[in-house]
Amino acid sequence: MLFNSIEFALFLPIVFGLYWFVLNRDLKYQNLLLLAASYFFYGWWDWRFLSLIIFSSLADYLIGIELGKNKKQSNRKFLLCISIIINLGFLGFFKYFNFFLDAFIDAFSFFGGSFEGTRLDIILPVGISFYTFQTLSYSIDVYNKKITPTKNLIAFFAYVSFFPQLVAGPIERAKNLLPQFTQKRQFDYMQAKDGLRQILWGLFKKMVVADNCAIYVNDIFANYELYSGNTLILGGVYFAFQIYCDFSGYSDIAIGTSKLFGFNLMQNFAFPYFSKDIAEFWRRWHISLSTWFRDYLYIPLGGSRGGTWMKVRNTFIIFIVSGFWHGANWTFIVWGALNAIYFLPLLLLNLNRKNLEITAKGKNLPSIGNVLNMLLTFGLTVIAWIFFRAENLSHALGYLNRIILTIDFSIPEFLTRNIYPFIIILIIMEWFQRSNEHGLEKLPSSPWIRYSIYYICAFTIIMNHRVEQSFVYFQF
Amino acid sequence: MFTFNFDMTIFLKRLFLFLLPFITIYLVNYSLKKNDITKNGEYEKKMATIIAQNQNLKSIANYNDRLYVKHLVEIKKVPNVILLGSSMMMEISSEDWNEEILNLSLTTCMLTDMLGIIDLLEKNKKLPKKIVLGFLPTSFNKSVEQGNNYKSTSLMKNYKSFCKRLGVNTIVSSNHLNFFNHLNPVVLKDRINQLSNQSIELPSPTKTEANIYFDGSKDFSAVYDLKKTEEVIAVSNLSSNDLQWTKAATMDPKLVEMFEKAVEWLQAKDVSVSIFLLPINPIVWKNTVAKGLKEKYETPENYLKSFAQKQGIFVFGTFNPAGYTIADYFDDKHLKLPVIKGIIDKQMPLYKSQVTNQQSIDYQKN
Repeated sequence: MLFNSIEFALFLPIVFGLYWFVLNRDLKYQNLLLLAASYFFYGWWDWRFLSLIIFSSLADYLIGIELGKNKKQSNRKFLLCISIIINLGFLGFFKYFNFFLDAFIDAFSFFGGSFEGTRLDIILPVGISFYTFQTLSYSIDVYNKKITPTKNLIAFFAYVSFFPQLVAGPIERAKNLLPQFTQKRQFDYMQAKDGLRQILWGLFKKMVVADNCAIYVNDIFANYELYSGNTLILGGVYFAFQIYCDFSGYSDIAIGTSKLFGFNLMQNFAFPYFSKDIAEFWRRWHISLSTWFRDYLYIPLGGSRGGTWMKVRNTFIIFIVSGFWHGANWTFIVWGALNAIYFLPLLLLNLNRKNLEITAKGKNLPSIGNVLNMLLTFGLTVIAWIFFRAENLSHALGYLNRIILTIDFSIPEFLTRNIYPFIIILIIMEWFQRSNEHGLEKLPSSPWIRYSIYYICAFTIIMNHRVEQSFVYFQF
Repeated sequence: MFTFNFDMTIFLKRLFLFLLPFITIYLVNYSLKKNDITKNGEYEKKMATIIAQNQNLKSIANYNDRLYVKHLVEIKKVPNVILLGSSMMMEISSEDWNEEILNLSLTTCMLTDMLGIIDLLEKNKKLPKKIVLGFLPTSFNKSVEQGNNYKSTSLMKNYKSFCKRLGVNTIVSSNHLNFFNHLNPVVLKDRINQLSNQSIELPSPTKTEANIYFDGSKDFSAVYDLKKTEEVIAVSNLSSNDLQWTKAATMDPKLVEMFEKAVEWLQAKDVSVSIFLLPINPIVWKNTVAKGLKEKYETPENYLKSFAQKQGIFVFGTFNPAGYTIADYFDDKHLKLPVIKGIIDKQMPLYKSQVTNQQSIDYQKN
């Protein structure tokens, strides 16, 4: 079920009504409702894969309890290994089986051997990369004694499958989300109002900006040999806005929907295109995944402590694994490696934590230096996005090659008023909200202005949305 | 149960007030019996009744054509030949075809619509002897944006039922699930116009107006004849930037499978299937070819022709507009009727020699 579909428009008010008006006296029933609603939401796509979530949830629930009881370190380590094998096993099979098989066959033939392997026709279950990481983090946190394991089966299952963030995050930590399932929830007007605003802004980003960009991006990337370098650059820029608005739009709708039910999810995007360097960009882009890798991979590997070689190694590992997480394709790996190359000079020169504050804090406009830094950072990300969007490496290299060979000073094709006014609106709104969580968080107190903004957003969605498209990150 | 605290009361009140304009538009849409929201389809039923009585309708606008076709198939006597296609084929009448036909062409007709109509015909035990399927370059594309505003889901149930019959999984075009189209102020305005006159014959012309004849064919010429060649060129140039046709690059394999199974099913029922292709507007063609995107037209055409050859299916026409000029077109897509008739007349002898059991009747529009 997509957030931008009629099914969800019917599903949400029904669950909201049952949650607050029928089952509001009993927390257990509220959680049970959320669990049933979440399974229904997921099963709408393919009910067969519900078994995976149920199995994964049950395994980590039981392992969590055992980890809590067991004092012997070797046993605890064994239990943690089981959790990792189950979760990464599911992920590896459904997402990476064919990739590794092909790589194995290629490697074999490279050394003159031959190997016959059968590719499996595997459907990638939606959201598997998100919920497996969520359950995995629970087991690791219990193992590290950062949290105590829960015995509340319903709460734990609801935490793993919570429908707003089930299929594309944010990847929540048990420490933040699980306790919210065990506390009595009270309807809060301010929280719900903010949730609705965030949903509206998320829909604007997804349905107006991302879906409109997608039309041109698909055409430009599919037929890149026919367009000039300028148009190809525009294609890269449009994709940068498409992927941002698609994914952060999803996160906004997810976080906003959670607020309607009294839950607070973590911020997943903090206006990343206003970053002044790549390190800042990665603190602001897909925060729940970046911090996941930081806490469960980068720091255990030694982080930025140790010598230069260690720093370089760990940086490449985390970025490449992060790229690989997005999909079984070399394009994602190169995308990750490219970001590591961008990041490395900052780390080695100790400049990676230079820009911790928001850009032009307390000012209306950025300085020229800020603008140049933001443009440079954005430009670097656009180059990396070309790899991310390309079908394969030769596609990406061909695309970049054509940019270099055919760039000129002409106006690119597809600089159309179907898109750029919306991108300008997006940039303006987010610029003035950059110290907040989303584009409509703090609005003028005048109800006339506030409601005008709401209606402009809503009617822009109605009048300018394109054919309902799935979210890009569903495929991950 | 059902307890409201102060916060919730305020929240619901304000949310309701915010949504009121949208609810109003939705309710107006609903009450004016349009598109998918309409389940009764009294207007469309009345239209179908008149057509079924072999009478013509004048100046019809803003109706749900899927729903109308549904009612029409239920009550009208079906001749030997049925035409199913898009607006490109809508004008073809029995007179043009030189044989009694029922033209059930729909705006932006997709394969899913065709399958829905075939299911309707089967359920009503009205499968004809011959079916002519008119395709667009986009017909095998899963999601085509054109005509969203007037597209309805009235045939979806039949489409799904037919897929079940064929043993294939359904594909729901995202167009069919489009909630917000119902709130489109343009549609709303059209509907308010319609409300002001409840009779079937609308007096004032609108841009979507058409006459519908007893054989299902439609006549747009009253509107389009006024169009100057310069306007047609302007529209054609515009549409070449629109990516509308060029998006047709990807033929969805599931739709292809559906089509092939449907043809096999029809042939097993002794229904003769033909394919009808009409040339693309030459300016749009030229612009697309200049971009090196010729395969957007060639891929579906080559596929259809090779499949037709395999199955012994006759193919009328081509997407290639060689030999046609802009003066042959009403706009960026639609050919003028005499030109279509020329294509039919040229290929009809060959068609008749291939497809047997022809009947010849004198058909004049009343």
